[in-house]
Amino acid sequence: MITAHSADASKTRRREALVLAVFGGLTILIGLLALVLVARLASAALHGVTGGAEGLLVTLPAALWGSIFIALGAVVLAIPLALACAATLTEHPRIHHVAVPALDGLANVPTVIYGVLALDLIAPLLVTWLPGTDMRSALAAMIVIAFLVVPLMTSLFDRVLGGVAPELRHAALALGATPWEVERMIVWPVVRPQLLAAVLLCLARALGETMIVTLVAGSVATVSLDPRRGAETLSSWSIELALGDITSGGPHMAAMAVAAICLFALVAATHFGAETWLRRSTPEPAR
Amino acid sequence: MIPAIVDQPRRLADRHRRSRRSRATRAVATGIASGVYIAFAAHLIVRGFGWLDLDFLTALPSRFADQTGIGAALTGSVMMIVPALLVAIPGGIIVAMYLEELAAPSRSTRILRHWMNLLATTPPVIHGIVGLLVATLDLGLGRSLAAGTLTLTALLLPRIAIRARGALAEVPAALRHHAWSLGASRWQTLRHHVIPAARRHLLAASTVAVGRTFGDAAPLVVLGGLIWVAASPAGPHDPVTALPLEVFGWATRPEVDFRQLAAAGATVLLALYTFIWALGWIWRGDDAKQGARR
Repeated sequence: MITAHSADASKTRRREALVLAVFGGLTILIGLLALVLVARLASAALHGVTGGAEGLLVTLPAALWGSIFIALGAVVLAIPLALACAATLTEHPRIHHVAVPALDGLANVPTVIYGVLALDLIAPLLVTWLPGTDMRSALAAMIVIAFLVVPLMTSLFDRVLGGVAPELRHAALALGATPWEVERMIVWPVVRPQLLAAVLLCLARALGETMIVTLVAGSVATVSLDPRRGAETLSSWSIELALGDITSGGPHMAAMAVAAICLFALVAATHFGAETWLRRSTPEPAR
Repeated sequence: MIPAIVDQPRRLADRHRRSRRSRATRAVATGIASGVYIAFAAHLIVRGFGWLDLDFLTALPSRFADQTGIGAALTGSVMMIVPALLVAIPGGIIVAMYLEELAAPSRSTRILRHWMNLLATTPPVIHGIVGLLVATLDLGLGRSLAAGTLTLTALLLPRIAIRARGALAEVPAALRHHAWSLGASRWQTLRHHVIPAARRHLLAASTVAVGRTFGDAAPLVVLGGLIWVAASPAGPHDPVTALPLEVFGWATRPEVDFRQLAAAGATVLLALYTFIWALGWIWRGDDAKQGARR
């Protein structure tokens, strides 16, 4: 009996080790493969920089500026809306089980659909309502990206606000604060790092948005603070290069690699900023 | 924070009025936001409705696409996403199981988790450019079905992994603690307790990622350009077109007809996406009925 049991235990141990090795090996392999691909992209970009890819001095700075400008504008537009929606959600916990999957669905709608809407609906509306706006403007892209980002931001905010200990709210209410004062003076300051991390995650999403800016931002490669004019972004520049003629190792390809590596660096910096804020605000959960 | 309340000698009635007003403002803002999304969908449907006729719809299964059909685009999309899905769903779930349940907590595990999260947030254009660089040029696959499938796999796997991790993390920790305290190993706990509890959520998590990747136009535009493909691919080296690609191509045209076609194509894409999302919802089921999980 005892031998049978120990044989069983050793078999379990062996299977455990096998599963761990296979799953872990596969995961590490996938991670390394991605690293190799990024390295390949970086080498192509380096090749482009030393070989003088086209548009590096003119288009690249404008595209970098346009990416950051449009993404920041979109996120700033989205924050009040998302805060309002998240606050409404926390006030009505009964609609949660419907609202959370709905928000998840809205947050992942294919962006080419938003692109068509931007071109068809938002840009003409802006031209009539805001005289002086170009048909293709950074503002139209900002507005549509803001609506693209609101569901994601709302669900992140909702998770943050819902994670606040109810005792905190109850204590503040018991001291005589009104519900609005509780949210604004107690809850928001407490979770500010997490809220900021959520905003940064949405910024990463907005930075990488491609279809909307390609269709509606107009690809005017200038550095301008006026959102009513067109703008170029890293992603729309890549698409324009891709629609041109691409030959193996040609100047287009090298410029695309440079744009891609810049965009990757921007998104990675934003993403790690978000994760750093999160780690600073919450201790790693013990498992 | 508290002194701020005390310092302002505001009457209690004023403070409560203000609280009520802010609540009303938030409710109105939420209503407007939801209304905008409904208006968006309505606009698309109205604008594309004239083109969603029998020709447009009968072209779907026929595989013969003239300029106003999406038959080839639909079959192309499906032929690209299905092999990607067959690799990426098991792969993503294995990665999630390892990172969330099996890996020993260490510095390298943490770095691997951050890396996977970053891959899932990486903009899809970058996948397209890497696909063009590696699959099309380095591997010599050309602008083909195979290159598209490889790119979509790379796009889909981290997205599924991150969502599957979320689904596993929703399983209460007490379930694992009970199994461990009875002597079950980590794999036994995962295999016999965590996976059965999370199965529906794992499936549901995958569906939204699949729907989003199915509709991603950016990587395919970079990879394939806007070449017109009149037939469905017969082999992995044939050129291929996809529904989001076709929609983008129509939207870039200046003519009104093509803009309306883009709206019609976007409506079909939205309907397909909603269908995939609804599948996820059905699989997920109603947690309230089956006992609270949190």
